[in-house]
Amino acid sequence: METRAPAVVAVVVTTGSAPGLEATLSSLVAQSYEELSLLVMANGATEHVATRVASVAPAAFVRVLDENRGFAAACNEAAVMTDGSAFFLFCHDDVRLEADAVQQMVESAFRTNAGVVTPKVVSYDDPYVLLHVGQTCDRFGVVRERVEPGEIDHGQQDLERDVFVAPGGVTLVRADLFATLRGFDPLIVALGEDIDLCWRAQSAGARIVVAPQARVAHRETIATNERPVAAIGARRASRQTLQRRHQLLIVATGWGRGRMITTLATLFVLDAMELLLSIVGRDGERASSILGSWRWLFSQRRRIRERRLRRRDTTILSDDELHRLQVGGASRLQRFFLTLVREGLDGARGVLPDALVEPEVTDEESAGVGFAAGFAPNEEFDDGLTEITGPHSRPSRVLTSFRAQVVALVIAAGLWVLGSRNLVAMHLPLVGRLAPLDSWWSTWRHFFASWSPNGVGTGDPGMPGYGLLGFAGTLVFGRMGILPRLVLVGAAPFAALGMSRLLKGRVSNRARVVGVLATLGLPTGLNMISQGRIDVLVAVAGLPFIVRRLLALLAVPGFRDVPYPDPVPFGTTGWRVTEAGQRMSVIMMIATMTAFAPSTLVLVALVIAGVTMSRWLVADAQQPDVAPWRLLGSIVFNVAIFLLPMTFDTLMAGRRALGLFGLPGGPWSMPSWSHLLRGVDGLFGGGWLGWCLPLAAIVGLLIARRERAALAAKTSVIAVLTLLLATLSGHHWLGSFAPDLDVLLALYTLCLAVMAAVCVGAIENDLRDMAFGWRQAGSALAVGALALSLIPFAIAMGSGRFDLPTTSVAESLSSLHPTNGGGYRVLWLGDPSVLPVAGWSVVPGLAAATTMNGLPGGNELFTSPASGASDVILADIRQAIEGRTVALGALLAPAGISAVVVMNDAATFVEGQRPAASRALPAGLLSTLNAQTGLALTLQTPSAAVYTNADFHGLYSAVDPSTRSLVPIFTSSKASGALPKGTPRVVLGLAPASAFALDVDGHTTTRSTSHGWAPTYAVNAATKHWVASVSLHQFPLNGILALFTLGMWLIIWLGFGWVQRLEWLFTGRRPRHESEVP
Amino acid sequence: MKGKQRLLTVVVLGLAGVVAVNQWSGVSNVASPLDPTSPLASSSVLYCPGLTNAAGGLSGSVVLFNTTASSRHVVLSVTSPGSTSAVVKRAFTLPAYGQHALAPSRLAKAAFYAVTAAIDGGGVRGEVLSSSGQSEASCASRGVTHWVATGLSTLVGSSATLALFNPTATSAVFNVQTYSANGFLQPAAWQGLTVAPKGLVTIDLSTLLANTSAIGVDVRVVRGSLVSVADQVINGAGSFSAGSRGPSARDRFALVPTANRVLARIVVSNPARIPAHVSLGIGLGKFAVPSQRFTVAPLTSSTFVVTPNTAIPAAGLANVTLRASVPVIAALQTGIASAVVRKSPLHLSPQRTSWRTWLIADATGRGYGNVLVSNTSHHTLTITVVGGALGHTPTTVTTTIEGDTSRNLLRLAPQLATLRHAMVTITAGSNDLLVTATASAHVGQSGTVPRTALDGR
Repeated sequence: METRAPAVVAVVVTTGSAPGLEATLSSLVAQSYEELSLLVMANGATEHVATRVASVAPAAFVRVLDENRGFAAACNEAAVMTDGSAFFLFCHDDVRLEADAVQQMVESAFRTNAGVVTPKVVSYDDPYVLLHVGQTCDRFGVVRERVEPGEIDHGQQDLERDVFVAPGGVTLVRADLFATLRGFDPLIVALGEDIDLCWRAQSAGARIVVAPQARVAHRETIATNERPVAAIGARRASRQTLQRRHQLLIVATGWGRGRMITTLATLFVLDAMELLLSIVGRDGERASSILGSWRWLFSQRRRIRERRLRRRDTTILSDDELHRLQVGGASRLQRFFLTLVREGLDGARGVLPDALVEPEVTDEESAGVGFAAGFAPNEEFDDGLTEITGPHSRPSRVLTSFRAQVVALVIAAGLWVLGSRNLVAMHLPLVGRLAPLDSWWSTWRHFFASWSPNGVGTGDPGMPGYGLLGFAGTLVFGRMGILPRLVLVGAAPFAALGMSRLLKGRVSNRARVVGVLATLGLPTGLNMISQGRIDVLVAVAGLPFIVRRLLALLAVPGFRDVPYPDPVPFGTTGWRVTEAGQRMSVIMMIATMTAFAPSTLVLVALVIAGVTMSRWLVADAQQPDVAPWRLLGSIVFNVAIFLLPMTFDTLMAGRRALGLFGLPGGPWSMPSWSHLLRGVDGLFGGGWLGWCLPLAAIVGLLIARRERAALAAKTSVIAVLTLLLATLSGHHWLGSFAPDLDVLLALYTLCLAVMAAVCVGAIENDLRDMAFGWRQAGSALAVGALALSLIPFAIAMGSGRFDLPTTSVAESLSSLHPTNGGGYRVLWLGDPSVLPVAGWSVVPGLAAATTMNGLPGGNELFTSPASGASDVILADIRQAIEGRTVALGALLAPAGISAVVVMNDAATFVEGQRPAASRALPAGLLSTLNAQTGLALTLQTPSAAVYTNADFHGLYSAVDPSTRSLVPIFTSSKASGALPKGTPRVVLGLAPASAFALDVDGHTTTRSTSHGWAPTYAVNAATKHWVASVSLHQFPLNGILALFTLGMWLIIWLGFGWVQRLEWLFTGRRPRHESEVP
Repeated sequence: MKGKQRLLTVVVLGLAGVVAVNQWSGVSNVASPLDPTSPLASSSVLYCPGLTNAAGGLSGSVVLFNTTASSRHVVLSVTSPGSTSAVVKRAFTLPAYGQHALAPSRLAKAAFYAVTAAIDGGGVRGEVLSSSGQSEASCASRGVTHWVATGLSTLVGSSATLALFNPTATSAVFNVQTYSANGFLQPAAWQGLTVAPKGLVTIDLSTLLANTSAIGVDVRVVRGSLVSVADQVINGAGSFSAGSRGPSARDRFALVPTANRVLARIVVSNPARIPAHVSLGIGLGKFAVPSQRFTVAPLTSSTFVVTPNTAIPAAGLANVTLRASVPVIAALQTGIASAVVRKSPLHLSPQRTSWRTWLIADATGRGYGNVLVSNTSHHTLTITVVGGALGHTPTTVTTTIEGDTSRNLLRLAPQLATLRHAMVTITAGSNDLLVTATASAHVGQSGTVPRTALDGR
């Protein structure tokens, strides 16, 4: 009886031009295996495939498919067409088999009872280079090779063994297994169908074996992008997207429910981290791949369900058993970290750096032996003075390697996490600007509101800070409480990131690391955290980014070495990088920061003035064609438009307009000159170690040359101008113009950090050109100083909250609620930097603010510079301070002020605990308040004094007919209720008077004003039901203005390419993808 | 390198400017003295404790003077010891340049009274005036946290009572300690005493300091502030002592009488724990009187007799300056020698500190004997004298006083023919003015009866 070898049908799937098709067919024709049939599946439009096949393999069958639905679909079609074969040999059209490959694979299948056999795959061009010897994968469906890239075949992989995945190219599959598994998954059109089939085969209990005696050369034209993926459903997707999609599909269908959920969840987290990295690294393709893959997975949920149901029929191995066949961990993550450590972030992200030009070693140089071989013919002994340019030449080894730099940054990041550990969950005290935020909806309402309660009330437009807060709250899904913590914890690291970008390309990576560490440890950032000044922290965070862009707009050498591209229409994708786009993006950044810290505009002016002045002193190599003052004017004008409500408020403020930038503090509480030079206004940085950074900056200024000198010159002039402005305004030499000192110090300390980095760069590059002397000694001192400057930073980590107090004076006040009910206000007096709510200046060193019904809340975060009717209150306080009145209680009573809180410290005094910020009150203030006839001192501590107003008669009051005196009415939460019967008059402590109406028994009452501002209503004596309600009637001009402002931001945002990207919404035409084959 | 040199120069100059401005801008957080009764005030208040009922020996009235051209609406509140709110209130209008007197004993029955005058503007001064017209004390516009007085006596036939009024809406807490020739006393009963808001408390020194003379009193307010007056009654004749705000190492007593049958004594109490070496400079016309020196033991009182004193000629009014090695409490006691005339009070003139504005107002109609205006500084002062008859528009004269000199008011303002029924405001540009006055001769022998210039503090 004749025994025949099992029939094998070789299915070759070809697409497109397939240049290697003939070679593939030839190698199949040349196989030694006798029972081999050849079936060519032409996927979609192919070039003369029948003729080409006929010329090489005339006995082959050819089937031309109308559409290219991918390799998997073609193979499935082939399987349906054939009958009676024992094995299928699925081949790509770019392989080349050795003559006995099929024979070896079939024998291996029988020997091992394998369901799937894969050969040893070698490089098409060099058969000694191994590509695959089977593959394995992790639980996320990520393949891991068993050979190293470029590994030479020495027979080390010649053991026949089980593998998890048989890579595509040439795969022998038992026909019955193929039928059981229902073939390849047609949903996977390319890149991944092999993994999926093998996964299902493994689940079904089949063995997958590598037969290393069978050698196949594979060009991998699809995988290497030599040929595009032309299958339907994959044309618009990049390779990355396809791979991600199919991995997700495999995970979603390949596991049982429990493991599927956990694996998908883990994958989601990993992808989210990768997404964040992509966004930060501006890798748009990766980001869209990640998002697209998850979106695709969600859209295929019905099909996934069907596959899962089908899988149940064939699954034999449990999830645990299946997982034991795989490798542990997450291959992609491991690969990322390995590449990160070896090649840096760009390498890990897949961004390849420009190739370094390595000096070629010629034969002449490499020849020679002995002592003479150590010298090249043209070598000189004293060539140490040769100028060495570029950041690749490093005179010392400290912090030179990427690994060392990463370690330094990781340690710094770890220290920061340690130092801010308590800020994440601790209760935030009511210091600085840490008043609790209102809900997301309420915050938006404050932006659109027609009335705000600041002072005695105002109808001025809501400050744009509310709008930006609302927008930020949207990004955190309405969890507004996260925002202050984000700023506290993230401002300094964000600034450090900005510093890194600012210095990129200007100094070496080592100097950049020094600049980043200096930024993290700047006293300004740490002090502002300890004082809860999140407004200043916003400025600290954004300042490096703004400075970088300003320097580019001012054409500072090194920041803009190539001209801006030609202008393109607004809204197209290239608009952002044009000059107009760059200008607009910096304007938007400045506007964002100015909304929280208006003194940011002053910083912009200082930067521009500093650069301009520096150019007068030290001309740049090339005089740029830039009009700095026009730039400044443009920025200010545009920011004013972007923050139109704030601009409107400022214009209405009149003589108080300059108060927008800051309220004058007491000259006695101004930091000393030594503190100013160290950039210190608080607890951190005041020791002698605080001199380290300024010392390094000075050394940098003295020894820097070339482009470093230009940067140091500009930075130093900016720093000096900033200090001068801070000093002059702090001592009231500039009148009422008193920009926030801490915001000014933010710019000053930023300059110090830049100059510290320049110092390192100068030591690396410029010192070698100088004769030995004081410069070298100074440099050594600077290096030591930079090292020592880290000590205060490390010490600051101790408390875990940078000494932010755990409680505040405001919260420690047990009760400010008056005993006689009704709405009320609290008047807060103190230094502007100590008050827990923004207010107006009374006299230098004393600001006043009011809050309604207790402690400050989210509706009193921002105060318009226009005091409006509140001027009356401020004038009364000033009178009392000047000794011109003793009836302050009676004067404050119409505003419904029931208590006066005088603070000289934001935090409650606790013995042994450092206070957050102690600012002395103007001398004589307390004795003046003690002399007031209507104010009773009810509480006095070292931090605060609280006076109860004996003349208080309620925020809403009515004349008691029997006593003829004013009595409180209504409650603190409701502006309606019963009136004393027979009352002739109702007085409200709400301004502006024109905005409020009082209805008594359903009838509107006549309004007049008392005390010049308080609405007073005459009540008809014939009233039957003594019930009244107060209503606000104000034309929604503020809302319209807010809407206009929002619209403007939206329109400008659209300008950054979104008009083009979203064009398809209106026209129906999708933008053409780069990967599409025309 | 020129560019770099310019740059470095600018940087160095800039930093030097920062240091210079910070170092030499000379800003200090010092409260400027306030004049609560300034005409510019929109509201003011005067506190006038010290009056008693007829049996107390210091019955009298509160007199208010309006130094402005506008009338003032005044609400007077009368408080007595033990009451937590005003016993009675009266409202009236004080005419421009006018005066108004009100006797609290006519409004309420109590042993002691404290009167509060709430005024709807500034420029009003007040005093308590005994019914004999021989003693007066200035009303205060705000309380103090430290009050001292000396020269009090609880000898047989004498009584000394402290009247302490709390002008604020907050309870005040205070301690009292005394110094006398017998030594120091800090009785437990006088520690931690509380005065309710707007309340009045009296302390009879004789309850714990019987038969003692030259008593110095030191009241320290622990919480809040107080307005205090000491009532001294000797042989039924009473006088007020307004005291002062604390010990001083330098004092000036102008118009000290040195004459026959006149008694003038400087009483000094030493609150320090070391001896006080006191030197008295006597300026007496053409006579060169050597400085008189004496030592006051720690925590005791001592008395120096100016007249009769064989070392000091009896030759009219002397100018006595006191210098002490430590801050002391001093007062001038003047009167008729008790051996000759009974029931004549010993008047106490406490230490006064210079101020920028003083009021001389003759509520009694008896005029003044001498009014001396002194410039306590070393430089020439320009002063404005606004004076005229009560109820009439005054005239204004501007003149100067050289440093460290004193001038008679009538010489400075010749437009004032007499000071009877007159009201004169003397104002300087700085706090270097001191005004001392005595009653006319038919009220008391020249210089023995002091009159009070009102400073409104």
